[in-house]
This record gives sequence, structure tokens and C-alpha cells, in this order.
Amino acid sequence: MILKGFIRKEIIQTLRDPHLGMAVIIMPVLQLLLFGYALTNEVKNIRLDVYAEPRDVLVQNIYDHALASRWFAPVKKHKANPIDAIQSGEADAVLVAPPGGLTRAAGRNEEKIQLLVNASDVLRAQAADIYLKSIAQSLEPKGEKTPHAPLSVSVRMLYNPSMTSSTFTLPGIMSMLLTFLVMVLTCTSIAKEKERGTFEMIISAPIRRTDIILGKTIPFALVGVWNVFIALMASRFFFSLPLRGSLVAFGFVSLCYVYTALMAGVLMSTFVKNQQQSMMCNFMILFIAMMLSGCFFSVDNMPLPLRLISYVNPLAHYTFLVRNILLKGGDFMYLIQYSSALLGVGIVLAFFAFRRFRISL
Amino acid sequence: MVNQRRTVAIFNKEIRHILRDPFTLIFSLVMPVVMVLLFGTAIEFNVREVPTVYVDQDHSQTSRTFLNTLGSSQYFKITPVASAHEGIRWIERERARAMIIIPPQFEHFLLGAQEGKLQVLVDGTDNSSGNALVGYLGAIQAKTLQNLSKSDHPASEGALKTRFLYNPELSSRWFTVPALTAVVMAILSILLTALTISREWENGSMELLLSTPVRPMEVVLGKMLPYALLGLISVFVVYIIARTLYGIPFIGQLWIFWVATLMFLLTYLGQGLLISTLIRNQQAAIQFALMIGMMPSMLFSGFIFPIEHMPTFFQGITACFPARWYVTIVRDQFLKGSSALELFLPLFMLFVFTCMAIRLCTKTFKGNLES
Repeated sequence: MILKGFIRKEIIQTLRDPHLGMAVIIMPVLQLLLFGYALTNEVKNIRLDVYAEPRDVLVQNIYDHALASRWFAPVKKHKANPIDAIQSGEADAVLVAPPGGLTRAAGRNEEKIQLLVNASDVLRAQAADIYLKSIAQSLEPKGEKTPHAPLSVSVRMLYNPSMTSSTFTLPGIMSMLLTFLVMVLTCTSIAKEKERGTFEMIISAPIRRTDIILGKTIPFALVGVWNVFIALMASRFFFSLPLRGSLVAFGFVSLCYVYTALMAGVLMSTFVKNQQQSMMCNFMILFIAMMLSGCFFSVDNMPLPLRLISYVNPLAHYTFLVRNILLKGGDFMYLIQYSSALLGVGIVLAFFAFRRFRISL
Repeated sequence: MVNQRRTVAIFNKEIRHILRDPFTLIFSLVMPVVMVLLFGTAIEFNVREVPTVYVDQDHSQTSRTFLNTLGSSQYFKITPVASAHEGIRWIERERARAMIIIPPQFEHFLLGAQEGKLQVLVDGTDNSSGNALVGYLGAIQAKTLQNLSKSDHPASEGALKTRFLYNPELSSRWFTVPALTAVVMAILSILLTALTISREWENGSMELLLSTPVRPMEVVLGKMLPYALLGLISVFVVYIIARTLYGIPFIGQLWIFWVATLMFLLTYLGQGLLISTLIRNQQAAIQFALMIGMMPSMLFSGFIFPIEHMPTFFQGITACFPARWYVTIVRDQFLKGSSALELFLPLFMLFVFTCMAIRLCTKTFKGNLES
């Protein structure tokens, strides 16, 4: 009965403020759409220029093939020399033919086409290098007869055959936004009571500790669940993100995560005195958790110590799980393994949260 | 329009606020260091040792040559599995990222002047590393053929020789750490200022401030400058770490870097103040600061996701975020070293944003005063 009243107070407090209401209900969906559409790691528009004599067939051929693919675009202005073209930012990559034409130089087996790449953007430099090399390889005149027939590799992209970027980024964005809401709101709402001094009033009221924590967390759990639901709908509707696993598994995993994030929020709130501190703490933790979660960067490439952190990072667990359920259909053993890890972290956090809560009382 | 004495008074008051609260001070000095250390080591775009499983149904000399070539490259870490079915299960459990199937009679076909066909299944859920994998496979394919033919000809590595300008080893750190200054600044300044005014409203000290004869401009400047100072100190720390610990070169001119940094800081501090004046509830201010300030400065600035890859419409949107222009300048000054003239557009845009931020701040603040 008391708990019910407490929860009602929290919900009213959250939705009463129009800005906060907006931040909680509409902003996440807007962000999901914005980032879902904008963030892609598909390489395109690498501006390519060529410095060769027009009759140098091979270089021109590579250039034409490159432009025909969707990755490269021609430069707007041809500069006098190749280094200038890159220094001025006019071109990202430049093909420079050896003097006298490549066809002849290649015959003498002494010269190569040079590819100059602006490597201040590593991602684009890598892409330009890989693509142009493979184009050059396919166009290379076969000198002597190779003793073997060609070795062909047929590649099949599983789960995401069209290599849509949003399929990779959306699960990450979803779990990030959820954390923003659930953890940050819980923590700041307790910090707010502390800052204003109303926290003493709640403590002195005849409510049990468990009820205080439940009352403080259930409203934000509802906010979280609502947002998971909306985010899933939006990604299915706007980005046709597949849901290959079961909805039940997805729901269960999300509940586990909401619970863990709530407990993290409560635990953190016991360390802060006011809202500003709460915001900074939250931010710090969130940022580190996000970085090491595989939301945007694959965890596989990280050095070992950082990878170990990701094994206890709930945000990483959730991101892995969401991706696995949505895209791969959710392998049962994998789900068990990671959701128990997630819940385990949640229980540990809850244990400390309750203990610290008593002390801070 | 600006009375120096009153501005200094506000400035002093704000400095005291900062010094009295060691939490803020420590946070603003420690956070940049933690972030740089973390980012510098965590982000690696060069895909390496991808866990890959293979099914060899041929068991021939040729298939072994291929697998040896694959395994000795630094890109793949290969493990045998019994069947394709099991391999798929490895991928489903995220234990492998790709599977290579060598069909029976692979050697027979390859030697018999027919096509030797390999099947490769790549986990497409992470499409950036997926793309890279396909690229590496092409290189390995060519190398295997060479190893097979055992010709005395020196291995031809293709007709193309690449020179990577400005970052010869394609180090991911050189790419991320300079741009990180932008993210650190954006976050720090928004976090620091987003609450200064809403806190005054909630604590009721705003009425006091309003009853004094200070002008909006004086409040805004007085509140901004201490945090700008704090911000400059942390940029300096980041700069030192980048140069010494990571050995990143700085080719450009320092004055461009610092002028841009100052403008960028003022813009973001202004944005934080603006959020703070418009939204009087601290909790909502926090959510807005996180969502308007932090996310776009990370994701729309070209820091991780290259702007050139975005759809044209969104490329236009990124122009509205000062972080994008600042990242351009910083990255350029560290690695490329263009002149101020070549960077005219980004510098000019930053300048416009700075003026706009300060103007908007004083204006909304004035409106606030009158209401």
C-alpha cells in the first residue's frame, strides 16, 4: 500500500516536468532514428585522382573500375601535382603511374603504380588500400601461364547479407539509450532528494529500506521497459531490423538488464551528494562501459586486459545478447551463459547497493 | 556593456564553487586522462587474429598449403571443426567470426584445370570487420596460388604499391587520440556548465543574483571563463599524453590548435549554459545535456564514424555541430599541418558558433531575467 503511493509519487514527479517527460518518452526514439540512419561504416565517396598519361591503359583501367564501384568518386579539381592534391584535401587517394607508362615499366619488372593515401583517416585509408589493390590484382596482365586454374572463393555473409550498417549499430544504440535512461534517472532522482534534503524525510517515514529502493526503481524500470518496446518497434518498422530469436528471450534479457542497470544506479547514488556529482559519476561509468561494450567497436580487437573488463560489463553482456537474439536467433547455451553473467553482476550490485544504502541511512 | 569588476566578481564566485567542490575539480582533471588512456588502447581498427574455423573435407597437399598460408598470416587464427554444422554453431555462440569450407576433391579440381572452389561464411553482424575479412581473403588467395606454383619468380605483390601519407603505419591511435580532445572538451564543458544555472534556480540563489545589478553578459562571461580555464588545462594534459606517451607527431602550428580549442570550449560552455537557462529542472537538464551534447559530439563529429560515409542529408546536419569542425582542425594540425588559410572554413564556422552561443546565452538569460 505504502509502496504503491511511493511509486505514484515518483511517476508523477517524473512526468510532471514537461522537459523531463519529453527527455524520457520522445528523445530516445528520435535518437534511435537519427543515429540509425546516419551512422554507417559503409565506405564511400573516397575521392580518387589519377596522374598518368592518358594512353597508360592499365592505370586508366584501374581508375575507371574504381569509379564504377560505389566506393570511389572523382575529384572536383585536378591539382598540378599528386602531393598537393592530398595536402589540399582535394583528394583522399591518388594513383601515380611510373614515368613512361606502366605497361612498359611492368614489362621491365621494375616499376609499380604508386598509390598515395591520406592516412589521417585510418578507416578510409585502409578501405582505399584494400579495394584498389583488389581491383589492380584482377586487372593485372597475366605474364606467364599459371600452372593452376583459378582459385575461387565464394563468400557468404551470414545474418546480414546486404551488410547494412544499421543492423550492426542499432542493437548497440538501443542498449546505450536504455542505460542512459534507467541508470542515470535512478541515480539522479535519489541524488535530487539528497540535495534537497527530502531524503531525510523519506528515511524518517515508516517505510522499510526495501520499499524505498523498490519505490525508487520500479517507476524507472517501467520507463525502461517502455523504451525497450518502443526501440524494438521503431527499429523493426524503420530499419527492418530482423528479430530472429524469440520475443520472450528478448524480453527476459531486457528485464535482466533493466534490473542490473537499476541496481548500478542505486549503488552509485549512495556515493554522491548532489545532482551534479551524480551526473559526472554516471557519465564516467557510462562512458567506460560503453567503450568496452562492443556497441560501436568490436571487443575482439581490444587488448586482453580490456577484453577481460568486458566480461564483467553488463552493458557488454546486454549488447552481445541483443545482437545474438535479434540477428542470430539466440543460441540457447549462449543465452544461458550470458544472461546468468548479467544477472550475476546484477545480484552483486544489488548486494552492495542494499548494504551501502543502510550505511548511508 | 561589460563591467569588468562585476564580471570578475562572478568569476571569483564561480572559481570558489569549483575549489570548494573537490569532486568537480578532480573529475575535470582525471576524466580526460582516463579517457585518453582508455581510448588510446581500446580502439583498434586493424582487424587481427580473427577467430576462424575451418572444415577440411579434402585433406590434400593443396588444402594444407592453403590452410598454412591462412594460419601464418596475422589476420586469421584458425581452428579445425568436424563439420559445417558445428562451425555454424561456433559462429552462433560468437566463438568464431568466419568459417572456411574446403570441399572434397578441391585439389583434384584445382589441378585438373577446373576451378577450385572454396566456400567462406562470414559473420555479417559486425559489418566493418566483415568487410575487412573479405579484403584479407583476397590477398591470401593470391598468396596461396603463388605458394602452390612454387615458381622461382619473386612473389609479385600486385602492381600497386601504397604509401600512407601522414600516418605511415596506419596507427589507430594517431587517428583517435587527437580527435579525442574534442570529445573530452565537449563532454567536460557541457557537464560542468549544464547545471550551474539550473542549480541556482533550484537552490533559490538565482533570485539573489537577479536582485543585484549584474548584466546578463557579465553573468555569462563570469560563469564561462573559469570553466574555460579548467578546460584548457585538461586539453593541455591530453596534448602532453598524446605527444609523449603515444608519440603522436604534431606537424601543424600550435596557435591554430589553441585558438580553435578556445573557440570550441566557449561554444560548448555556451551550449551548456543555454541548456541550463532554458531548462530549470536539473534532472531534465542532465538528460538533455547527455543527449544533445554528448552523443552528437561523439557520433556526429567524424570522431569514430567518418562523415563522408553518412548519407548526404546527415552530412549537412553534422555541419551544425561545432565538434565536427573542431575535429577536422585538430586532426589536421596533428597529422597533416595545413595552414590557417587552408583551414579557413572550419575556423570560420567555429568562430560563428562561438559568437552565436554567447549571444544566445545572454539573450535567453535576459529573457529569463524579465520573466
